[in-house]
Amino acid sequence: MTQTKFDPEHWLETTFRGIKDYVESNVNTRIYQVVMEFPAPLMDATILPLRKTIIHFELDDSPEMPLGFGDNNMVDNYDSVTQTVNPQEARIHHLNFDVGIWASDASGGTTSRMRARQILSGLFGGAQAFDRLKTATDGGDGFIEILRFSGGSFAIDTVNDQRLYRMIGCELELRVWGRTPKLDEGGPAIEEIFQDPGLTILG
Amino acid sequence: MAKFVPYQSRKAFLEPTAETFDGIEEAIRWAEVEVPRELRFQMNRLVFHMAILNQGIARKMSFGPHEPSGGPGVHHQYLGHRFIGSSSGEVRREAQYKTTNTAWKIPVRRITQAYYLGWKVRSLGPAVWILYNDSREAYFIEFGIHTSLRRVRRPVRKLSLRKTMEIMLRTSAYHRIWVDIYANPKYHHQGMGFHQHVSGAGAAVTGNLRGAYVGFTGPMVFGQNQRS
Repeated sequence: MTQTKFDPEHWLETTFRGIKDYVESNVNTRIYQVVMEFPAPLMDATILPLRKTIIHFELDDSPEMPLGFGDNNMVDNYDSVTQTVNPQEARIHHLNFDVGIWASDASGGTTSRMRARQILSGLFGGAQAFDRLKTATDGGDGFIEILRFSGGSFAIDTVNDQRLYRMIGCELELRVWGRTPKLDEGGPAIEEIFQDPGLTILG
Repeated sequence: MAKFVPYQSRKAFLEPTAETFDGIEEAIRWAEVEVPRELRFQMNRLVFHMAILNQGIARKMSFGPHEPSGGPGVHHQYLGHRFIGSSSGEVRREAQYKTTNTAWKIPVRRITQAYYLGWKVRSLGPAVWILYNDSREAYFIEFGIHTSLRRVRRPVRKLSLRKTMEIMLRTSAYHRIWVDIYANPKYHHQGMGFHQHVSGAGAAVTGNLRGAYVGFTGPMVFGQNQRS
């Protein structure tokens, strides 16, 4: 399985795909299915009972903050030949995910749900998990950081009279550092500041 | 059309603006230095105002279009079902429903208004307040549980608490607050700070607290100051 590496200029899509690949490469995909949204439409369209236990990640909130002061340009990308600059802006993104598990009697029931929760704890909880995700998603230009993973309570739901064993109320908060892509053309650089030698300071 | 009422409490309160929190913070600092016995009252005011701030945000997210005619049979009218075959020979039955465009969104639309009016605050003790929703549908809305095939999560409780913390971040009282909402809610009595607990709808049958609720307590340092 190919692991998607984090790219700060495509921070959202590489984060989603990076998380999906990271989980799928650490679970048995014949037993578990990873979806990056609340799987209600999937549940409507799926032939029940579920044959695989579903692990879902749904983005609930994504506050972002500027990095640095002023215009927040982190790289000027100065071109001495054309005497242009093509600045790139950096931002911090906190991505808050709701994490859920959906198991049915056919997919392993409560045992499958408990195992999935334990697997998730190993993948996102603690310092070792932080390092594993960092290693998995580090493409040399940033990586995905785990800020928090906790919560989760068990509930029973039904779809078409089929029992579903769900985990609800579990949260994963990630931090990534995004960067705006370079524009097609840069703007003129200020090469030199000309000062009139005749200027005097009055007063 | 009902008038939007963001804050509701039997206890008198000031509108929870940034200036209100800054003023309470000033009072806490004054009490810490001048009148330590006042500290517990000022801490209680801080926590109480945080609870009603969260209440206002949760109610705003619950104050969608008013559709009193959108009750069962209308907002989700069962039209029938269709059969879909597959190459494996299995035949799937898919129900067909009629819904309106205002359904399943945030702000949550109001049919009986029970969910919107259900966000309430009450005190559990000195500097311990909870925001809860005693409507039956709160649990289902929060976690996307529904008897029909259409199930949509609308995490009003979670998002309103996050917005509360964002607003508190811009006040001078922020350093007194920390969030413990991500702890396992089953053990919510073991931590201090913010608490969050969600009870199942089954609790409604027994008459206990039901729906989704969020708790607020004063910082632990408050108790330590009292002992020293």
